[in-house]
Amino acid sequence: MESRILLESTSVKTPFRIDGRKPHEVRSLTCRLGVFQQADGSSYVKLGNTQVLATVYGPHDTRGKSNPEKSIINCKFRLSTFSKSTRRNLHRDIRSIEISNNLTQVFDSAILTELYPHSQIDIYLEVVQSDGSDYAACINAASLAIIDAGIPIKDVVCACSAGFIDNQPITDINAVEESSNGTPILTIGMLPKDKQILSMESSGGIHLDNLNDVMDAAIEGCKSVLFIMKQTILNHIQELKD
Amino acid sequence: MFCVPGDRLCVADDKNLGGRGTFLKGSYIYAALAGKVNIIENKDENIFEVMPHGNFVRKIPQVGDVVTCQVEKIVSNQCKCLIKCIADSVLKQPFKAIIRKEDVRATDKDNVELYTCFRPGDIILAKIIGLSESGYLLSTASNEFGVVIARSENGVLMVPVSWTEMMCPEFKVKETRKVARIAIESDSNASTSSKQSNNNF
Amino acid sequence: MAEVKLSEGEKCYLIHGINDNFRIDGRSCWDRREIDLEINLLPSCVGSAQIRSVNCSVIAGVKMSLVPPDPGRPGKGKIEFFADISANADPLFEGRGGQGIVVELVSFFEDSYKDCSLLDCLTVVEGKSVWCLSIDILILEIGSKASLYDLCSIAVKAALYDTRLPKVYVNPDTMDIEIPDDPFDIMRLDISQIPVFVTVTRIGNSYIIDPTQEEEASSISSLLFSVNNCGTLLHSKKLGLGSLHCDPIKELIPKISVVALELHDFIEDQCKSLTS
Repeated sequence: MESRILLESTSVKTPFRIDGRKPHEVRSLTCRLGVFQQADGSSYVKLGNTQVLATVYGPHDTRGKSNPEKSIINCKFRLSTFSKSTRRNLHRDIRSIEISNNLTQVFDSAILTELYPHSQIDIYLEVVQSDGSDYAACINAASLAIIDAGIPIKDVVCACSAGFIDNQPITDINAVEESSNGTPILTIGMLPKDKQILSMESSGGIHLDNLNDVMDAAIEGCKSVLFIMKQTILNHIQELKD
Repeated sequence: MFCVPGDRLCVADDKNLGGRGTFLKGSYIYAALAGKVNIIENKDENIFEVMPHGNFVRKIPQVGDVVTCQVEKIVSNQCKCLIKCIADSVLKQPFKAIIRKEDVRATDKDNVELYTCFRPGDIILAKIIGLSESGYLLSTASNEFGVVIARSENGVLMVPVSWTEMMCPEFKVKETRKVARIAIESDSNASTSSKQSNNNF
Repeated sequence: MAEVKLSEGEKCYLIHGINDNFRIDGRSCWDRREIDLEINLLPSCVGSAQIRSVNCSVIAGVKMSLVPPDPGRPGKGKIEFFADISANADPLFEGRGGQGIVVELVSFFEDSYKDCSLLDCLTVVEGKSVWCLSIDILILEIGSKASLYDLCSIAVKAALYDTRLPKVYVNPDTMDIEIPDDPFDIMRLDISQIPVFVTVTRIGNSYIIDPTQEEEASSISSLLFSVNNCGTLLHSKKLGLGSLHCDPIKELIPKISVVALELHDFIEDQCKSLTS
């Protein structure tokens, strides 16, 4: 089992991570809205090397039972076969189903579903390239796609992951840090205005004493992500108006 | 002024009201869409609304809308249709709807034979009167609702003759339908509007 | 891939225009729409390419592995295809919804690449070990089904151009295989013999390429040809319902080789300008 130095201290005060980032630095984030013409709303998010495409269809008629009080949200997450270094089997992936369910819950709380009873909103996510923080990138991409579709939502939902290595909380985990043994990871999806947490998922063991610091790191990461997402949305609207 | 969802627009009180694209929380009005903020100033009140980019609003059928549908199948006591347009806007995906036997006509409701009023494939104008499990509830119980476009058994487009009959112009055969009385603005507009409605379907 | 509904009048207008070599978007019958090509976008694949056209978007990724060869073909490598339509294209393709289109696409690719000269370059140790290239095609957006085949073939050819295989050193005495660690010690593939697909659609009295959704809805049927740069027809298929007359097909054949050569040149030029 090779050991890797994930956190290297050149000085006591500023350790560097394996990709050269400081502990609280988020990777470079690029977003684009309106990538596909045929979907009602679509977006593309590139967080470091993780690339995610999101599309939204709806609100339209339900396929099956309908809810007379609100719209049904149907969210499907998928990792494409070439997203990781080993080829994946598309159709028997329990982790994808779990993430799809989590995403459905997140957006069910955020979208104003009471406005569209008896209808269904479909959100589809495709991870083209996976390099850590897939879940967080998906929440960001789905949020942008919903805004592009013109579906009313309470706030710009943003998400970020955080971890804990060598007694140091770090923000925005990449694939190398994720796959190394024993790194606890926490992903938080939130409504930034009211600081309401819609999704909190952690894996690996975090001692309760450290949980506060890791949560703070994730929330700080969400703020950086939110700033870029808001800029992208405003640029997109202004371009369309011109 | 441009906004993103979650932006606080103003305090909610007697003078300031939230319109389309906004929601109320606590004592403030927030934006729910990304777009341009529009303030409509009336005498005693200001209405804040958000116009989404692209300037179109997501629409689903509401109770009271006049809709254009296509008949799918006819069962003994109801007629299943697909809603294709709401007022002037064509929907990307149709919605399921039903017309019950007692909602077809305003007079003589109990003695209605559905097969003499509608046939599968007809295009109908109707009004939404409610929501049910199997789709929207429609009513054609008014003069201006009913069959607009229908093809005869030979496949030829028929012409309305009276409020209960349509005639095939080639074979001169009459078939029974519940025909809609579409208001004609003027004679010259009538021919262009009927050509337009043919081209949409 | 929403079905477009056209009235009789609109179809008539479209067909009359095409008979006069004038399509509804202003192109002539043999003009193709603009294609955007991008290569080397996926770090996890040895070769990758993305094609974007007006309303069609396809990503192709190539992965490699060392496997024993087929017993009947000891000196040839292997190429496997796998395709999938993302639900991004239409809610109909959620889960296994796109299997119908995908199965047809994959079997056409496999038949076209069966005897490709590329396979000879993929041998490492004859009889013991060959490269197997697994090509994954991800369809993100579909406009018309006819132009889908053409664009997928361009994406695969560009991805194979981009493929970087490590140079393998074989010890002649022990027949042991050594793969170097140097990421720049690579070999590129010669893509000149790789086929491209050309789909021609019959509308009215003429054949067109790259139909829009409205044109496809008014068409009778389509023919799909797989042609390499020497003008050899590797595989062909008729797509869709509707019947075609023999004589126009014979007149079509010289034009197909011209179109195929143009596509081959386009791909080579684009790839060279992207890598330089």
